[in-house]
Amino acid sequence: MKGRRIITIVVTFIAGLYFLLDFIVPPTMPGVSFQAVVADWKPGSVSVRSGTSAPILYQLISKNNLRPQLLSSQRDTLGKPKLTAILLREAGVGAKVTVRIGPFVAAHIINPQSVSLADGTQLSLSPGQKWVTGAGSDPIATPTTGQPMSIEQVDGIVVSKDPGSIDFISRSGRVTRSLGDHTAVIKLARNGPGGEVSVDDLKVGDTAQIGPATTFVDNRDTAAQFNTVITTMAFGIGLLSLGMTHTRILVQRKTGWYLSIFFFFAVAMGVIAGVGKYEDPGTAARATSDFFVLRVIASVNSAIFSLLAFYMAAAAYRAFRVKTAEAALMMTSALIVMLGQTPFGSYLTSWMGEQYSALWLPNIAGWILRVPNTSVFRGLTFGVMLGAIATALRYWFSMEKSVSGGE
Amino acid sequence: MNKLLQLLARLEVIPRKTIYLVLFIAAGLPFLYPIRLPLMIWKETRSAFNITQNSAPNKVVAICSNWDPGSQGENWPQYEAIVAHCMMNHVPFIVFSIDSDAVSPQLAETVNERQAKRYGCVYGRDWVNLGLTRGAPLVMGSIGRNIKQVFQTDYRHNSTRDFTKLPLMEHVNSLNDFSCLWDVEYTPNLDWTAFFDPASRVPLLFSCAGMVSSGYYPYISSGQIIGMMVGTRGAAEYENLLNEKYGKAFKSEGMRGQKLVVPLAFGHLVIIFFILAGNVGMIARRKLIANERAAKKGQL
Amino acid sequence: MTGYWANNWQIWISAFCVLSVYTYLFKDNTLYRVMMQIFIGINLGYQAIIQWRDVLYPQWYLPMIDGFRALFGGAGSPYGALWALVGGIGILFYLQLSRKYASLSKIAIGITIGIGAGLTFKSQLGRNIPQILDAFKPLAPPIVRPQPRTTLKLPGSAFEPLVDDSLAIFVSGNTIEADEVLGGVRVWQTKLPSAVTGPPRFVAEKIMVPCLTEVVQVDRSTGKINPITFTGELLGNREGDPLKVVAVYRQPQLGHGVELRAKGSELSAYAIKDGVAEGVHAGDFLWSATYPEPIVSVQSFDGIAMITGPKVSEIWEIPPPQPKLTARDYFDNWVSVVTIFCVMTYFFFSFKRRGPMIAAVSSSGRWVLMIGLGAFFGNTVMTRMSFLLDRLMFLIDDWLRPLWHQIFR
Repeated sequence: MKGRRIITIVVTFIAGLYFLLDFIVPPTMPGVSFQAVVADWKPGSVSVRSGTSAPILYQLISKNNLRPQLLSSQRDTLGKPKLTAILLREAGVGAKVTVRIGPFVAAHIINPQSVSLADGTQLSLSPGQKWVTGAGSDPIATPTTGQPMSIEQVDGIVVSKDPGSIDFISRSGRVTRSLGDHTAVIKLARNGPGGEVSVDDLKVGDTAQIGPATTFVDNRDTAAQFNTVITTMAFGIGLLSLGMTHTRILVQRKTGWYLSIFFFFAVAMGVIAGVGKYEDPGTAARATSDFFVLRVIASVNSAIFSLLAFYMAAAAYRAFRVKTAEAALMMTSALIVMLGQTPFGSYLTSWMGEQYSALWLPNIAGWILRVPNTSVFRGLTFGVMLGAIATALRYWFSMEKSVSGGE
Repeated sequence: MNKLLQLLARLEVIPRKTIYLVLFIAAGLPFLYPIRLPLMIWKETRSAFNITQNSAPNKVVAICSNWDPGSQGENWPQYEAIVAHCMMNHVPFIVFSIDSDAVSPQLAETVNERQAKRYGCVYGRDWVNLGLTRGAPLVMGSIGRNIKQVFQTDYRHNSTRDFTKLPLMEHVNSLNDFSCLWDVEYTPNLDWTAFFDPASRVPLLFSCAGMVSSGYYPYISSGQIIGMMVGTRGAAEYENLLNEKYGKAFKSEGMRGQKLVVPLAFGHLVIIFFILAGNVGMIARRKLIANERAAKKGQL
Repeated sequence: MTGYWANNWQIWISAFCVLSVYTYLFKDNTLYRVMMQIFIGINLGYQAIIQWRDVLYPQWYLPMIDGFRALFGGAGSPYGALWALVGGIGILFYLQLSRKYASLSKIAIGITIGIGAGLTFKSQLGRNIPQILDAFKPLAPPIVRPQPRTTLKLPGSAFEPLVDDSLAIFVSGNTIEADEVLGGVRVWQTKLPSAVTGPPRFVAEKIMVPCLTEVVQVDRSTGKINPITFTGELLGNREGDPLKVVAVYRQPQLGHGVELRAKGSELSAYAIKDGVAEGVHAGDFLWSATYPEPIVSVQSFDGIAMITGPKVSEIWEIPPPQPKLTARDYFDNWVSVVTIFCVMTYFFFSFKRRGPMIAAVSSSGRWVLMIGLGAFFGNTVMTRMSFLLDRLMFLIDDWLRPLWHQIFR
């Protein structure tokens, strides 16, 4: 038991520490980062071999559609294979990739192996490459003019790669820094924090900072995904625990057991509604789903919340008695805001004319909300902030016994 | 005099069910006899409208639609007004839900489809519904950096990288492609200000329930939130602004803000009446007691 | 089923749902409880499907399966298999339902709590630091107008310099040079064949410089002169743009900024407003300054201005346009500052009163708090009423009206 408690305390601490560091640590490793004006840069390149043909060297230059794109075969959320663009750093040596150049529109066909574009650029196939239509992977035998097409090298193996480098102008002259797989490039801006960019977004004259990216920057999206998955996984507990309770009620025939039958029946309906949700509008499954969601769930849920209006009316009637000056102040402010928020507010006071517009009820209500109310809530916010941080610290160090499983 | 006081003192003990009934009838009557009243437009609503209106042509309006049936009384009219605005203004928009009730994407889509029929908009080109995800506030940062990584598919399970079905998504990658971000829900999440875009390049617009709006005014004052639509009133004002801007092109029939705002005024009057009645009753009763004491003293 | 019922049976079910919930207003009853069970059940069943298909399937299951495939020779990254561990942590949650292993579930709960605690720092500080800054408001008109500040000196230019991102290109005599405007580093300098006669222009990523004898093409990145040069009046000696520039601040959509007008060596700034800027009046004079030599051009980017003279250019940081505050604005500011002071005093000394001064401030804190709470109550009424009206609108417009027409058509 004690061992489990220690594990809980340790994992809680580590999880908190990770996200605290994520907030504090700068995006590139401090101390080893380098910052200067960019004078030139060399893009990354990759050489890819398919079959027995000689490897082809691709320079990953940007700024036009002719930038070779690395694609990797992955599966989409429906489980079908699809080609997804990957970054150079994601393509390790030996990885299987497809390289695609384009799409472009040929202006002139020179021969079945080469075409020229409107701006005079000439493109030719190397052994292992083929023409494909547009952005797809359907091969076409001969290139045609006026139709978008691309060049593709299918199922190549990465033989070698060079992540590229940046030339900087610094006080000591020109310096070349080569980029690694985990180098973060941050373009500094005059106003506001700088943003991470890819090398080919740099221009001569930009001030950039490069350095090895911290684990936190590299894994921000994975951390978010982890959080998403973990929080979602807890959702089944409600269903399971209610299911268990209702089963027990049914088995033991406790009072109100018939309610449990309705519960299980409704869960089945909910599942049908959930499955039908993904169909196109107009289909029967979608209509069923819409019926359950819009006619049943929405009606009951909104009706439950609207009950509060009745309770509030009764409570306001009973509790809002002006017994002290403070209560009178509160009631005045409440009445002004209540009237000012509705058309009656302008209806009752707009006869005063534009020059007294500051005295119109909606404007007084607005003033209350924008000036005193703003300061009151700001004061509250500061208190809440201190409280939240103190509570976070208590939870982080597992000082809340109720959660960490203390005695 | 005492008769009158006795009558007034009875105002202090109106039965609960009478209050329910009066509220039910007074709030329901304006639906039977619709009347229109002028409405002043608050500056928070106007600035939210202007920002949505001035959306850059190559950008999209991002809407985080987290409202559910529990808050549909206020959030539905608000959301519908925003959608109608985007569609009339020919600004494409994307909708997603974070940590919301599971029915939120479906409710949003119902409204989108209804408005799309009026303005001839097409799914995938004019709007995309990306469905639901969880894990706020971290996922907000991920949406800002790479939205297609968070939402691999849309609400109907088309891949967000399938540009033949969702041509809009071709140019939507990160917050640089958002002209503004609307958060429509009961309590919009203030973590947008800290996690989504630390450089504050994307204006944040909140569309919240009236009840929680008090807490957002400080953030408007500091410029962290640029505009806000408050409750049904905000929705009605937004519809008025649409009417001002687009005139006949704005198909206002069935828009909820306008329909709800006058009954709302009557509802407020009922509450005010009961509060005042309770207090009049209390004063009358105290007066009666004082009178009785005075009378007793007189007898002695 | 035709006519009325074909169109309205769903409305009837919906109305039935609403009315059965409303029966609770009179007393707790079976119908209401049945409705609750149906609502909870449908909601849970629906949630389960959505959570799986929208979140877990794409974000957890597929990466995991791909990871396992990669381990056995498939494409993709084998690290994806680690998601199975995350699945293991997720299963720990469910041990809550068992008596024997319930304490293991604390590990999973601990992780979520740790994440929440770690995120609180960023969340609270990120949203509230601007709040602290905004709490300090001007209480009296400024004695001195905010003046621009020189942050950098750059070479002068005979014509309007060419600015592209953070690189500025200056021409003077027969030299052309490119400087970076963030730190003032010279990137390249090139001698031209003859004196420059007009402002340089960009033509498709190349810089065209009109000189006495020819138009020279210079590479933006290296400053090398392209051998292809043109003779004749290709670009002409264009007159510089009128000396007027708009510097736009933080939110371009808010559209408030500063307009700079230069005359001789005198530079004046005026406020501009378009869009939704609050408190800014267009055309308000802000400040004026004298430049050491006649101004050739004024340009602005990123909220700064570059003033160019024949011998020297300077980068000026321009103060954002201060909204011109009226007496009422100062009144509001006083109210804000006093309110926040009183409220904070009330909170911090709510346990123990120290001295009559603090007691007085703290009791005024309670007074202003009452104003805030009153406004909060007013807003609460609006929300609660709206929720009720939404249902009433449904009952009257969607249910009773068609029924009325059906009966009395």
